[in-house]
Amino acid sequence: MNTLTTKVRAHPATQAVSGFARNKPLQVLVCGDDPDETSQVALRRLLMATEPEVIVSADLSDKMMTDDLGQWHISRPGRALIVNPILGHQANSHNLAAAASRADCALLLLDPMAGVTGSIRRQLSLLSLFDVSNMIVVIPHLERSKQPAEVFRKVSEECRRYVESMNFESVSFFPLVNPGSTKASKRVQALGWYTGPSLSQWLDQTIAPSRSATRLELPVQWVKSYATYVDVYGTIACGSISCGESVRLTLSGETAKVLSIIATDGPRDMAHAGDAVVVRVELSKSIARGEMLTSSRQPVEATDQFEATLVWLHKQSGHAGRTYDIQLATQWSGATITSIRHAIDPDTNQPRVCKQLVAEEIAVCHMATSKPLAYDTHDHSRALGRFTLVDRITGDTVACGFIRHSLRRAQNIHRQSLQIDRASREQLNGHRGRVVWFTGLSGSGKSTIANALEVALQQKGFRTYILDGDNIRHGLNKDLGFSEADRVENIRRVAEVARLMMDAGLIVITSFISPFRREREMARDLIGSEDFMEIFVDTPLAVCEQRDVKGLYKKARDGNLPNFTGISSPYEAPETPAIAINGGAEILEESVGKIFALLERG
Amino acid sequence: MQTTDLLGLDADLVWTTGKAFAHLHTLETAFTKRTAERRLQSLGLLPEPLDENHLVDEAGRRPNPLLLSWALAKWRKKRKRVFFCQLKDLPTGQPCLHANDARQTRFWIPLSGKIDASVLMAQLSRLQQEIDAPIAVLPTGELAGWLRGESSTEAVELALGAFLPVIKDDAPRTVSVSNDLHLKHLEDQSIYMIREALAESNAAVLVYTGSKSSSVLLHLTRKAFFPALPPVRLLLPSIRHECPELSALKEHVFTAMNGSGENNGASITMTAAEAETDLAKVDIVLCADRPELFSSDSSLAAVFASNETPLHRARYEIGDLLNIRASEKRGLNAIPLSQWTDIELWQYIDQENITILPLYFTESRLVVQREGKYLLVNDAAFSLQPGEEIIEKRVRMVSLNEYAGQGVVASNATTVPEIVLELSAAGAKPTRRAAMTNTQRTSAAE
Repeated sequence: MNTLTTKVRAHPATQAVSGFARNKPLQVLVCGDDPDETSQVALRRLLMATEPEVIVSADLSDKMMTDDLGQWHISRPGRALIVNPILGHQANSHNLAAAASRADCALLLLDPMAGVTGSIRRQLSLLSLFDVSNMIVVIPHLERSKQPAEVFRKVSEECRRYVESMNFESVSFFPLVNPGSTKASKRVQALGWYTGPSLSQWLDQTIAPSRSATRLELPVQWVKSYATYVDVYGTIACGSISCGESVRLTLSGETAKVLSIIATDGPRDMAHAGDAVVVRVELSKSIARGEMLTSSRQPVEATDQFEATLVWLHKQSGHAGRTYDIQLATQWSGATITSIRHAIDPDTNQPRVCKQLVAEEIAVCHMATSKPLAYDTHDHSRALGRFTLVDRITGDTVACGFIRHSLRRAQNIHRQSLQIDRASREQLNGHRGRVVWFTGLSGSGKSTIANALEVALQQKGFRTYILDGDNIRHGLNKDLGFSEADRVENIRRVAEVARLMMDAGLIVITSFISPFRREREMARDLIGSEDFMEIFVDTPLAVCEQRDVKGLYKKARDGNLPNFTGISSPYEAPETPAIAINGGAEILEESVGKIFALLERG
Repeated sequence: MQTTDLLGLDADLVWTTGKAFAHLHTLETAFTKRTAERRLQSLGLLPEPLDENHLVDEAGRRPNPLLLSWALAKWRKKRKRVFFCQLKDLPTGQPCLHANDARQTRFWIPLSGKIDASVLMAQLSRLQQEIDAPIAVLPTGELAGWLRGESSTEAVELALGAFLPVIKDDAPRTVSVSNDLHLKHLEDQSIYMIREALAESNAAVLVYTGSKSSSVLLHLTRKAFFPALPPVRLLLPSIRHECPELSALKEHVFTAMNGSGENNGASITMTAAEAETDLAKVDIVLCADRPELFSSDSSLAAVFASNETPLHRARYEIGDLLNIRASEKRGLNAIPLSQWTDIELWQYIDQENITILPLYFTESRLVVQREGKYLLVNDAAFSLQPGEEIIEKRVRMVSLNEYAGQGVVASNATTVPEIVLELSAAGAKPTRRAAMTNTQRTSAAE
């Protein structure tokens, strides 16, 4: 059936409704001081105006479409505006970050009475970080002032001085005289001195920023391999790609010829930034999601260590040593914050000391990833220089980051390759190296079981070593306290030491409270899950407290011991331990037997 | 084939048994009506006569008995002559339109040239002129297929809506013919999100309810992975108000997807019952509808409600970094159409020629008026309440959600542009579907 003829195409009605030949909509972020109702309405009317109006008429009828997310949808000749107001109580870092990451330009409301306040400064730093390069600062309620021109000049000067050192391409200022109380003629008078563009003119002239870099960047979302070619699915982040050209796959290092390109509107000879495409490349090997397709003439690099500016978004704070999942373009990997260099004070834009990353904090950190990632600095590439950190347990987005530069250590330090390796040491020992990781509350019986286990292993000729909480804290970790950040570092060091000893061929038995799931996951990652055996000594808190061998519970109950696990600090029980032992009820020999059996089996 | 010589009974005429007798009489091959009838029989000219118990549509399905008896009763009252009609080739292989009434009066019109709906309508008019009284036509088989979508006239009335619906097999375009960059931007964005979601998933399902947005979602998903098959299973849940049109559409989609799924088995469909056992493993649910649309006892509704939605809690989308990865404990609902308005959906359906539920377009349909609303009579299980009468009305469904409570609305919009015009003329604010804040605010229009 010929469907083309049965349907009415290009019906005049469609044109009447859609109105205009349409381009990609312009994303406008509105932030700054919370405007009152009249300022909001005035803004919306000016954004809708088809004539270059500077003055809003007193008629406040407002027929705008607002969606459930609070975005305003405005049809303008040529293209639609999607205006995303992040105002008032919504103006926290995560809302602002999410909106700024999509914005083509920003409209900042600046209360002339308050001037450039701390909150405005924080918002400006975020906008600058996210590289929202075009901004118009709207100064409302000038009709309240006797000398509007003077106030306007003063406030815009103050703001201009502040943003001078920042990353903005263009900053304009616009005076807003709110409709309402004052008469129309007065309002016109009030703005007689303003000769700049109207808001709608400014918007029509604003083009979505296009990067000077025209290098091809195509993050690979999905692949389908065939015998002699591979279909690569993704959206072009930057640059363009054409049939016949030679492309480079950053992570695998291969180069390949482009055989064909399919975009959503069919086969193409060439595709550009923003196109969702399928690129067929001549390649007999398989590649994986997360690859980065670039032009072979302008390749990108990969790194596993870099310095980045982090904007912390989550109420749960971040610490050096913690491991998260990183998403950079379509790449996923583990990533550890190796150190926090300094935070950036939003008031002064100067560095200050920072121990942990709390919500809203902007800080420069060093990061290490568990595998090399294709990257670029955020100055060069939005797609390759921007990432998010995701909590491994909850899946929450905890931070977004901007790569400043690679820490070239990844290229400088080559691991010394040694002739004697773990396998040969294990052969000599006659058994595999392993880590048996005990976790449980203080007084649960971890050390008792660990000791009994070591005795049993020794008797059977296994080489062992116990890393015990108290002993380690007297030596290796005596510089660490019991704050959350120190506990994280404590476990990280223990995990590193355990790994070295395991590499030496030993069965390492660790006996630490290790209360946080994330740190145990980090240890598991570091050691390798096939060598990591988690033993949960699940003794009820009441039993531990009753035993109270070291008198710690009493102290904690009396309030003399802050951050005591089980009392004033949480214990996150393992979800799938290799073995769970009920330390309150089980006989010691029985527990040891279970662990021993599992060790012998694998 | 018995014989190719039909003794001139295949001339281009509206034949009756009487005319045939007269013709045979002049040929001197039959001298009584009885011999003429025997002659016709031996020629194999006439098919078995039809009655209301032997009607089927082009797919061999029986019509809705409620509507059939309603139509017959209506015509009886109007004293229309009811003809059961069928297409059957003459023994020569020539196509022929046959008609019989309940008293076994036979007519046949040999056809020549191309057969289409308008040719057949013209022949039915010829039949009517021969009878010289208004007639009503109940087609069967192939003929029923041809006459779908044709409208009744005063003289020739068709059995409207008694047959179960069919879905026209429109091949969706893989090449867009428009240069609407606004729609292309929405399309590119949705495809990006669908690819991210399915690439991060181990066991994803796409929920296809039959609503127009789920049709768009399915189209986008297939497009996102073309020329390969999307790595997703299609889930066809039963919704709160199943109707024959929906079942037909789902069956159509099921066949289309499984047909193409033979290549690598990546895309297979499952019914809600099958899904029940598998749903526990599902990590990502691609969906375009409000969860209220699924029947409340469906296990899918429970899964959907317990799943997270991106942006729900703290899954912020930073630019293209969607964090669309299910966590260990909870699945994730992905709603790739969150940025589309109702009007944009319609324009895209038009641009891409997407097959949607025919109920969205106005046709003459049989309805009853109940509590000020028009309810569609399209189900054999529909029971009339005392005093209610089935009437014919040009109506369409506004949305699947509204259909359950509000029924259908009177409309003249038979094409997408007309629907768009109707939407904006009504001053109805085209509700932009809420994006992905939480499960309560998943999508607006449908």
